[in-house]
Amino acid sequence: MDADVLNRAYEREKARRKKAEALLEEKSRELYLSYEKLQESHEQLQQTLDEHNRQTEEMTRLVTTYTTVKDDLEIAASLQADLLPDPVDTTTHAAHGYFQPAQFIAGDAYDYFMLSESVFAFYIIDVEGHGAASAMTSFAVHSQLTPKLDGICSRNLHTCNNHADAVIATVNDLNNNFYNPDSKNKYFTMLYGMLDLQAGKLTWCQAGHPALTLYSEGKPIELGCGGFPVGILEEPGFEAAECDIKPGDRVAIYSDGITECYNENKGFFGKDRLIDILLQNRSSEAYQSIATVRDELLAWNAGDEFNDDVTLLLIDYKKPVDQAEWNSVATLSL
Amino acid sequence: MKGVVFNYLAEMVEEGFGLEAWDSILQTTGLSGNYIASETYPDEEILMLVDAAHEKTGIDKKELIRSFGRYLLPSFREQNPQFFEAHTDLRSFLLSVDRMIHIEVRKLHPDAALPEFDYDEESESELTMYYTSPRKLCHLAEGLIDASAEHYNTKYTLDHTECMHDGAERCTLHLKFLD
Ligand code: HEM
Repeated sequence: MDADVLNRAYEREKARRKKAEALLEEKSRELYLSYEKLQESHEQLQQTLDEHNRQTEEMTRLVTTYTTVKDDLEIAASLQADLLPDPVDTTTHAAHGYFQPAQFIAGDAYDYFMLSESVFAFYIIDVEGHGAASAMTSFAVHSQLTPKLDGICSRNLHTCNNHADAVIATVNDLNNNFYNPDSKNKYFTMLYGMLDLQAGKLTWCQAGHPALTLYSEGKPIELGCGGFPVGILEEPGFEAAECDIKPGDRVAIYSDGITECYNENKGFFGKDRLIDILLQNRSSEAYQSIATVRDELLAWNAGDEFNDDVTLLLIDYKKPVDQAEWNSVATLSL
Repeated sequence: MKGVVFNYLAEMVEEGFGLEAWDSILQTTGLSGNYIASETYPDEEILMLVDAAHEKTGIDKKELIRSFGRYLLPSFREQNPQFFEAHTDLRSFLLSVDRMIHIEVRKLHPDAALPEFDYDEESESELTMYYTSPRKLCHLAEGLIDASAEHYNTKYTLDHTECMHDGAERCTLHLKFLD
């Protein structure tokens, strides 16, 4: 065989081998780069995964906390509902309330009770804001006003010369207890009153709360003396108001959650509308009038959730206390 | 065309006609001859090599390419036995070339130069394969078919009724399987 042929075949093979080696080297380099990229992606993926896991854990923790808080709030809400007084309907007077918290629990509260055989006391409060923090203050006020012998309501009734002084003293006591310039205490508006069932006298102290409305002889009369909310000033100088009340008269007290109930198309529900509905239903039983207000308000609100707590309290004065009757009841319960 | 095809051609020529023949073919064409299996080379080079081989050996070009097809198939089979094992008869194997084998080849080598086959499945004993490719290697297909028939131990006749080399748009390979 020609040596040239062999030589050329050898050179061909050598060139091919060299090319193949260069190619192999290039492919190895590419492979290594791909490997590095892969590793980088892997690390990034791991980081994303870690972050994701962390977020999931955080989420689980939040959900657990939320569930606990929600459960607690539901318990608090039912406690708050338990604190509200049952409707009262006696021969001398009747009282009914409507209460609808904006969230689970409310900063609004009301109560009424007999302070003596002839004095029916009542109050309504509206703690600024609503929700848990406001509800705590509302609970605290409730516990201080609870009618017990050494409670501030009873004490002031017995130590003061007259009902006017007694209501002022009671609101002042609350102010002293809740005023603290150093703390973030919540302040509240309130209306605390006494209905003297024997004398036919209504005495109250208004602390920044909407005025009460007296329905007497078919007319609504707004009676108010303004005043500062409780817990804002050290010495707010609360005043008392007093008026005669006749059998058949009705007293309405409410929180601004009603009048400021807002409808996107129609605006605020307003005081005039409330007073007017109550006037139209003046001859109905208190609970019926309240049901009417509730229905109108829900329709206005266009939904079951209110923006603010809603409270309405109606008190009917029917007739003076019959001392003999009272004595017989008192004897019976002994 | 992949370098591997060139290398098989070189192998076939060297085995049949000796190293000198392949050397002289490369000399005639002026091509370097150092092909790397996985690289892609211009299609014209394989045609130039076939022309030169025809000049050198005096064998008809079509016959040369047919032989190359026969030579290629066993190598294909060695490297991909699963394609053959998947079929028990020639007809269904040939149907799988376009529908399965070349599809798999394309996945591994996106730049592979593959033909396109359409089929007329007239009957169990007849099959028409329509071949289309810019390389017009229809005789390579004939060789590959012939070697496949040998593998499946099948007698057959092939009528190449229309051919791209005669200006047809595609080649018609009409097959009859005899028993
Ligand atoms: C296991 C079997 C088979 C395998 C793995 C296979 C694979 C391939 C590969 C890798 C190429 C070359 C691609 C390139 O150079 O870029 C090719 C080309 C080709 N194959 Fe197949 N093939 C097989 C069977 C067949 C059969 C049975 C036929 C005939 C019917 C066929 C007809 C062709 C033709 C004619 C070409 C040349 C390219 C063209 O004409 O455009 N193949 N095949």
